Amino acid sequence: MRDMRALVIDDSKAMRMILGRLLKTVGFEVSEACHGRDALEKLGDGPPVDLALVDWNMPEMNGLDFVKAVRGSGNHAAMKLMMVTTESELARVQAAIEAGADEYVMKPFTPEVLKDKLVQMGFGA
Amino acid sequence: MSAALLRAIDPAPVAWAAAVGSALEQVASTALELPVTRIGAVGAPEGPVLGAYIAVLTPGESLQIGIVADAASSETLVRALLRIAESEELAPGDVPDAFGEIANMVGGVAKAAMSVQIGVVGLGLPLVTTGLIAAREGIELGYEAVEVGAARVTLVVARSRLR
Repeated sequence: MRDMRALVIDDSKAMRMILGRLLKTVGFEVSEACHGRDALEKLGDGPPVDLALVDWNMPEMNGLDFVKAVRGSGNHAAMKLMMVTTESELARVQAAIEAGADEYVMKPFTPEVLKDKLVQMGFGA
Repeated sequence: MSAALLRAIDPAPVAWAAAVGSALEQVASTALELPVTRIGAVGAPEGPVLGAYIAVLTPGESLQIGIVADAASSETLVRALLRIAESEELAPGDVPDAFGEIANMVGGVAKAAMSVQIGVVGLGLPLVTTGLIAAREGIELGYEAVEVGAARVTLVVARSRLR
């Protein structure tokens, strides 16, 4: 069985580092993208990805547009999408879920909260 | 006109200051795992500082929410966020980037709290720079000193009303 692969999409290097480190503890092989367009390019070039953690507010292409682009393309249908963002209003959560996000985590978060969400999505023990 | 009377006429500055302080407490307890002691309102900090600001736009006002600290204190917060020990080196660019992310989280939490009252419409991307927002006509500036673990920081709320 191949390793689980995750893509962390955030314009903050700090947040990519934090999320990447956490995902590695759960067993993911992690790659990074600094905005939605960068992520689409990496998905096009690279191996299949099981999970993408997606920030909302990013330059070039924001997280919501990335989710719409992925779900609208019909590619990567098996990839789970988790928004990880400071945007916490209910309307934002609804918009992300309607666009095709599978989960939503609000910043700031504790490692335990993120790990619990991953377990709920079927990743990790 | 007295400051108290101004606050009675326009309670928004006080509400924003409270929301930003509470937001920092939430960020410190979760992402930084550091205790917070709120010192209270102060004047503009002196000396060289790093400032991380995030823009919030509401139907009636434009705000910059900021967190400002000297080099040692900003590095303390960044090490806490990244879980990097004092003995380890930080990579070039880590401090401004991570300091900006802390401001982003503080702004996001404050925005969520205030949106219930006033219907916030937008949150910008963090801007990290040296120094403070310059005082000028039309901008209300408020500062609050806060201790976050061993770091001493100043929260900044700069507010201007939209015409």
